[in-house]
Amino acid sequence: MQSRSATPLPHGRRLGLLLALAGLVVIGVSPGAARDAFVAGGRSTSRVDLGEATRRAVEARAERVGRALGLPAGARRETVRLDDRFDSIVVDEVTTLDAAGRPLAVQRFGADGRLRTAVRLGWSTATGHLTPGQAGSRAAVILDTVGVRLSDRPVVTAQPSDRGWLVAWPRRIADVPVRGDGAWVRLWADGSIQSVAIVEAPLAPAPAELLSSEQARRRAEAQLAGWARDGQAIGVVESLELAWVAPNDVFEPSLPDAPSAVRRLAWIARVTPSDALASRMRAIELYIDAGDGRLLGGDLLE
Amino acid sequence: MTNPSAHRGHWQMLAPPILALVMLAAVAPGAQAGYQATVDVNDTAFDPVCLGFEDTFPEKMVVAATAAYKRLGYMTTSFTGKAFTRAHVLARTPADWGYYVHSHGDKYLNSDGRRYSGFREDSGDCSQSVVFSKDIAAKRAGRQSNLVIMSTCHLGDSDTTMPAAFAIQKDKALALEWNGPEFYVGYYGLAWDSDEWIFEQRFWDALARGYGVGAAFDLALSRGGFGHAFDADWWGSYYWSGRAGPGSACTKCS
Repeated sequence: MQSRSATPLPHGRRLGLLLALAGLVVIGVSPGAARDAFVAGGRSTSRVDLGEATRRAVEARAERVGRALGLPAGARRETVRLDDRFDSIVVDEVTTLDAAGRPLAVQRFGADGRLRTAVRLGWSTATGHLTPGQAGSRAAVILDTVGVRLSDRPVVTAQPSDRGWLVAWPRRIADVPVRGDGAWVRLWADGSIQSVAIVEAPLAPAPAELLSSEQARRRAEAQLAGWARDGQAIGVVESLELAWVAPNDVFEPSLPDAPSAVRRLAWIARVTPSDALASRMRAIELYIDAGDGRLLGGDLLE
Repeated sequence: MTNPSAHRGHWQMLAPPILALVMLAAVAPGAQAGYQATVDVNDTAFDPVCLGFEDTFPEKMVVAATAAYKRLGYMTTSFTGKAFTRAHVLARTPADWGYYVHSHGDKYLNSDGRRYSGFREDSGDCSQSVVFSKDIAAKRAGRQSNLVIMSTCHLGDSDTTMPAAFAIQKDKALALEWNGPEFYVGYYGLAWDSDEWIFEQRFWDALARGYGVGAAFDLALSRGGFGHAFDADWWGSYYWSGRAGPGSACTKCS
């Protein structure tokens, strides 16, 4: 869990300029950005027509990528184009099946042809003695084989559910993290691949003027005070972190049920609940818009 | 099926005492008679009356889980507020083939001095009793279950005692094994609501598309996009459709 302390930005104006420039580069807005909003209880994906020529091209790409990653070749493939309204992306999904029709692997490509997900289905009882460094190197090699080269040092985590290793490269823009974006490689304990995922959501333009962390703290505290009932405090703002976040409906039911497709720059205020609430809530996060101080949503640890 | 969004809006207009009594009772067209599923969601703990503000996750999760179990052919009934109590859980569990709960989960201290996996009831107020795995186990007495989803913290931990309460062996049965039509999902350690929501929506959608429970789990967990460290685990039969009953077919399960 992240729990960075609030610190004044050393070069606030310079960072603001960098972020503004970064935000101007709206990366790959999904073709389905104007689609109907996802509604809880409904299906998040629907099939979209995929022409024969496109299907052949996608399957050729999947064969190439699958071979590079060492995914099973299988007996046949099923390819569909999906409009995923929950994840706000249109993807071409290729499922590799064995002769009995059982799925062995799934690959997903974005409309731009870039790999988004590759999963080797199933479970492995393989054992191994990789060090975190070896797991990170192995994951970097795997990404390199599909043309993804990342210079940063990854975050390597042993998976407690005995799934091996999770190697992550969180996405950062001008050293500011993009919450939920990045590249992930899951490895079995012996270093073989379980999955690759790459998430890179579009970014809204960064605000020209950034709220200071102290302004954001005051905004968060005002929100908490507004929610307080009968003088009972909600909690204390423990830390603030600048990050790109997906606005959501956590505190505003009228908003769509899926997180927003476009990330916005926000201060994440981490709140430790008061003693009175601690039995019902372990932590609260408020997303405070880094430009105008609006509440963009948040998250809860029950 | 009713429009879930309209249903949510209606909920939000109701006064809390009435809201507490709302039950999303519904039998899906084509539901297999006798294969009951229960969806229990703790909403009151995350409402203004207990928290000071409205947390919308429980309302979304109850709607999504109910729809998902119905699609899988279960006779599904949902409970929240005063309708979701410890007594209610223990009264219904012997007949449940499917079970979903969203609430607090942990290893709680029982009056016998030992700790067991458990989750908190809703009960429509802010003081909520724990439903222990040992209570469920005693009521079910080894009776088989199908699809069990624990949308809580800690009930996917390696030492969880909850799967056994539903007669699901903590074993991963793959191609050459078959533990019967059963699958248990729980989250490891502390899990943030947004990550649970992302995981569950992907899981439900993969099942609806015909993937088996194991593949749906892998597809839900492996696509990234979680805001915090998030991990889940499963036990049961990887190759199974998730559909209600003692045995059922799956288009992509074999």
